Formats: sequence, C-alpha cells, structure tokens
Amino acid sequence: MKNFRSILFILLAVSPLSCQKEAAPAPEGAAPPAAAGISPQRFADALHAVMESDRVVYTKNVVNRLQNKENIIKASEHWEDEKTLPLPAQMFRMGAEMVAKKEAGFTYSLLSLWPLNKQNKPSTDLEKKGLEFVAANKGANFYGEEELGGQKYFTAVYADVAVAEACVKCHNEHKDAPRTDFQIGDVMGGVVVRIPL
Amino acid sequence: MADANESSTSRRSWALFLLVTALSASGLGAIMNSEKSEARAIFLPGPTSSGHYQIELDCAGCHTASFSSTEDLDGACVHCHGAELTASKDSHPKSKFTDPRNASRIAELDARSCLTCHVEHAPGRTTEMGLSLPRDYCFRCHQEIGQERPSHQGLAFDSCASSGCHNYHDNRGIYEDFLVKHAGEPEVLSAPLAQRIDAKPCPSEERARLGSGGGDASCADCHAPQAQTFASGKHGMRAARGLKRMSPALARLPMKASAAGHELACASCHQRPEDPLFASVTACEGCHNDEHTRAYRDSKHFERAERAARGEMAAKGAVTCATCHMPSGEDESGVMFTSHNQNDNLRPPEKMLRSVCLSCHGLAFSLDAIADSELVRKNFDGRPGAHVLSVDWAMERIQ
Ligand code: HEC
Repeated sequence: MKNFRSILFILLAVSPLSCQKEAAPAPEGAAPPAAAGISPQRFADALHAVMESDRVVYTKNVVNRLQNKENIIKASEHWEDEKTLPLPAQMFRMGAEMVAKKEAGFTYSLLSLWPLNKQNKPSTDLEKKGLEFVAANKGANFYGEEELGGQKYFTAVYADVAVAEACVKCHNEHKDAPRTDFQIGDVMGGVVVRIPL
Repeated sequence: MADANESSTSRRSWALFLLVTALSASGLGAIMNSEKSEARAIFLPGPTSSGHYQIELDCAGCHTASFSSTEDLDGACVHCHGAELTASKDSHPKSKFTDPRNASRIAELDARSCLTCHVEHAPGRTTEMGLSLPRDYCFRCHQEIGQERPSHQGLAFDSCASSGCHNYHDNRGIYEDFLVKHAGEPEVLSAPLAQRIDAKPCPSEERARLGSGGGDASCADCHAPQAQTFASGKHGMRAARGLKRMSPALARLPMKASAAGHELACASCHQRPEDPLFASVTACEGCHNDEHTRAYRDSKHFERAERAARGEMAAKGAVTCATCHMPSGEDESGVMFTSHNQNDNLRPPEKMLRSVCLSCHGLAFSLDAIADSELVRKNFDGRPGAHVLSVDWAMERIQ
C-alpha cells in the first residue's frame, strides 16, 4: 500500500513537469524538473510498475479466474462481436491509446520481435535494440535515448514474459504467428515507455 | 498650370479610389458578417464536396477564425465528425501519428491533420468520401503488405478501399475471422433477422400540434435521437445550422421538378401514419428521381414490402427505402430507434452489410451485390455480376 502511494505521489508530482512544452515558465527560484530529484529513468520505472501490475491483475483476477477457473466467460480477440472479455494485450493497448489521446507527456506500447499484430513490431532502431536486449538478458531492463521527428526521447524497454501456459499456447497456435516455439518463462516481447526530454 | 491641373486630377482619382475601396471593403465585410446570407457565395474559392455543399454558406462553421490555422480547421472537422469517428473505432486516429514511434510515417503522410487527405473547395481532385488525395495513398505506409499476405501481392494500392475490403477510418464491419465465420452462407438466409420498429401512432394531441405549426421542435420533444440523427444527415443538416431548410431545388442528386420548392421537415415524410409505406417509400419517391429510386418498385425487395404492407408477411421481412437508408439500431443505452441520418449507412456503403444486408443474405453474396455498381443502379433487380475475393482469401489462409 505504502509502495502504491509513493508511486502515485511520483506520478502526480512528475506528470505536470513531464509535459514541458505546455508548462508555464517556472517562477524565479523554483526547482527545475531535474532538481526535483526524479530522473526520466525513475519516472519510466514507476510508470512501468503501474502498467505491469494492472496487466497481471487483469490477467490473473479477471481473465484467468472467469475463463479458466469459473468457466463463466472467455477472453477473445473479437470480444465485442463475441460478447467476451478483451485479451490482456488488447486491454493494455486500449489503455495506451487512451493515454496517447490525452497527450499526457509520455507514451507506451506492448511490442514484440515476433508480433501477432504487425503493428506491434519495433518501428525504431532503439525499440529493436531494446527488445533484443531484454530477450537476451533475462531480468534486465533497457534504457536509451533516441531522436524522433526532431525531438529527443528517453526510451525504456521492459521484458514481457510468458507467465502462463495460456500465453504460450495462444501465441504459438495463432494463424498470424511468426514464431511457434515459445515456452513458459520465455521473453515474448516488451513494454516500451517513451518520455520526451 | 498643367502641372497643378494634373496633380489635382490625380488627387481626385486617389480620393475616388480610396472611397471605392472603402465602400467595397465595408460592403464585402457586411456580406461576410451577414448571418448566412446567400450573397456570401461570392467568397467561395470553389465548389465544396458533396458532403458539405449544403452548408457551404455557413463559412464560420469551418472557418472558425479569420485566416484559420490548420488546427482551427481540424477542430471544426472534429466538432462535427469527432463523435462518429470515435464510434467507428477509427483505425487511424490522430494519436497514432502524434506517437513518436510513428514519427517517420508523418514524413510519408502527415495524418495528424484531417486536411492532408480532405481539402475542401477542390472539386477537381476530390473523390468519394471527400478524399482529395490520389486513392492509392495506402502504399505510403503499407508497402510490405504483399509479403505479409501473399494473396495481396501485386494488388493495386488504389483497390484497398474498394467494396468489401478496407477503409481508412471505419474498419468495424469486416475482419478476417468474420469473413471465415460467414463463409459458405447461402444467398438468402432462411429466417430474416431484420428488426424494424413498427412506428407507434403519434398521440392525437401531438398530431394536432404538428398540424398547427408546432413542427419539428414538437416532434423532437418525444423523438430526440431521431431528431438528432436527422440533423446530421442530408435532409436536416441545413436547418440544424440555421440555414434555409433543405429543398430538392438545392440538391445535387436528380430530383423531381414537381418537388423543387418543397422544404424538408418531419412532416414531409410523416404525414400519413395510416399508410405503412408512405414514410418509408412513397415520401422518398416524391422527390428522388435517380435510377436507383425509380427501379425500386420492380425489385424483389419492393415485392416483400408490399406483401408485408398487405399483412401477408411479417413486417420485419419487408425491405423499404428506409430499411437500408434509415436502419434501426440501438442508441448508447440500448434503446432501439430508427436512425434518421440517411447518409450514415453510406459512409462507406459497406456499413450497410452488417446493419442491413446480413439480416437476410449471406456475406459473400452481399459483398458481391454491393460491389456491382450496375446492380446497385438497378436497385438489386438481378444477380451480382461482380465477385469480391475477400472470403475466398480468408478461407485459403486457414486451410
Ligand atoms: C487467447 C490468445 C492470447 C493469449 C492467452 C495471450 N495473448 Fe498475447 N496477444 C494475443 C493477440 C491476439 C495479440 C495482438 C493484440 C493486438 O491487436 O495488439 C497479442 C499481443 C501480445 C503482445 C504484443 C506483440 C504481439 O504479438 O502483437 C505480447 C508481448 C503478448 N501478447 C504477450 C502475451 C503474454 C505474456 C501472455 C500471457 C500473460 C499473452 N500474450 C496471452 C493473443 C493472446
């Protein structure tokens, strides 16, 4: 709980500063963002902690419970037509798209070198490098800087791991699967968080 | 002396010039500011698209500021079309292109602004759906599609958005698994699923109000979603913007000369509740004079409508003009109503597949039928002469 509150505090404290373009000029003597003590890396780590927790909670307490344990409702790709639950990856993407519309001062996405949805393949050199790094170095995060459209960004990549049999089974057997030999514990992709500098 | 004369003449012509300029400027200013005056037409830099021509004299509807910036104009687009784009789960929202991971795509096509693809007052290069860009624009980002989908190898990029396949904004209707699920369906399904709402007769005191000039506003008291959708379609969009009501004389589609002066209101169509085909067929035919309308009474669809009207068949199996162009649907809270935006189902026409055709027909047959423009012109009196390959391709992929 304490942890959660401190993350929330960081998010609240940092979010107005992170959209520097719109922010009013700081009054004389006010601390610049860096002096507030929150580095882009800590900010990205904090955001990722929230994203990952939400992803696990939805997968375990909603999808796994209702679909596998209680047999009440399935999760499937065409959840609106089929009156089912959205897949965890779709849930994640819908949140990311809503944040993007809010121009919240950061963007994020769930990507993979072996994506089912081709939109989820890396689109910048750094994304590709980061996804390769987290796949090769279990447990390590990737941090880097890149310039896109004339703007500098801090970009962090966090591994997304096959935590359940369901991840592996669905991805290996999908008709759009570019890779069919995932095993439990494998890194299947990564969460990319991007913050303008 | 000659010099003095010349200089006074030149002074006089200067004064005249200034006076004329000042007068014309204030005259033009007055026209520009006069509320939606017809005289404003002199400011139009060129004819507007079929979607906007009815309201083109509401200049400030789009040009919200003098010398509007791209952002101002985009804001005006979103003001009217934003809700619809959200409802259609827009596949290419602005946020996709403000996302830095797509920064390199913006160099190909700056899809952050509506104006990149939809320029107004440019009739020479504007085609269906108000598109002012060459129709093969998909290639700018999707060049690799031939490798991902062998069936798409060598297809022309101006064919992506043709019937039965893709759209830039609204792709809700059709996806691969949907094609697979509906493959092999017969041309005509055994039991029609159409859900028409039987119009309830208007209470007599309301009818009296209608007759006594209460008009559209009194209808809207009880029929709010119908009134709202009417205001978004081609029948009500002028009135909704404070312009003179739409009338056939102002239309670009072929209309009957006899109807030219008629002004559209609720009572234009809703005047004979005792006749089940009046509002849904006869009223339309009263004005519209194109081939599609004129061919309707020779079609099997009309045969069914007539039989239903005579009580020989359930009403939900009837196909009137309104069945396709004003389909029933649910509002956000799940209440059924008839959409009165006649244009919604045509933007793009494949929208009709789910909301109308598939209630009675199989998917492959429906796709072929709406892809055959000659058949559409004949109001579906005949069999499809076109064949859309999407169902075949989707089946090949799973085999
Ligand atoms: C029932 C099938 C299914 C299950 C179970 C599933 N996924 Fe996915 N996953 C998908 C689909 C479909 C997508 C593409 C979603 C989209 O449209 O963005 C996807 C997307 C992803 C992506 C983004 C890259 C891509 O492939 O497009 C990652 C990473 C991912 N899933 C990891 C996981 C993990 C880890 C699990 C288990 C916790 C999991 N998935 C469970 C179907 C599934």
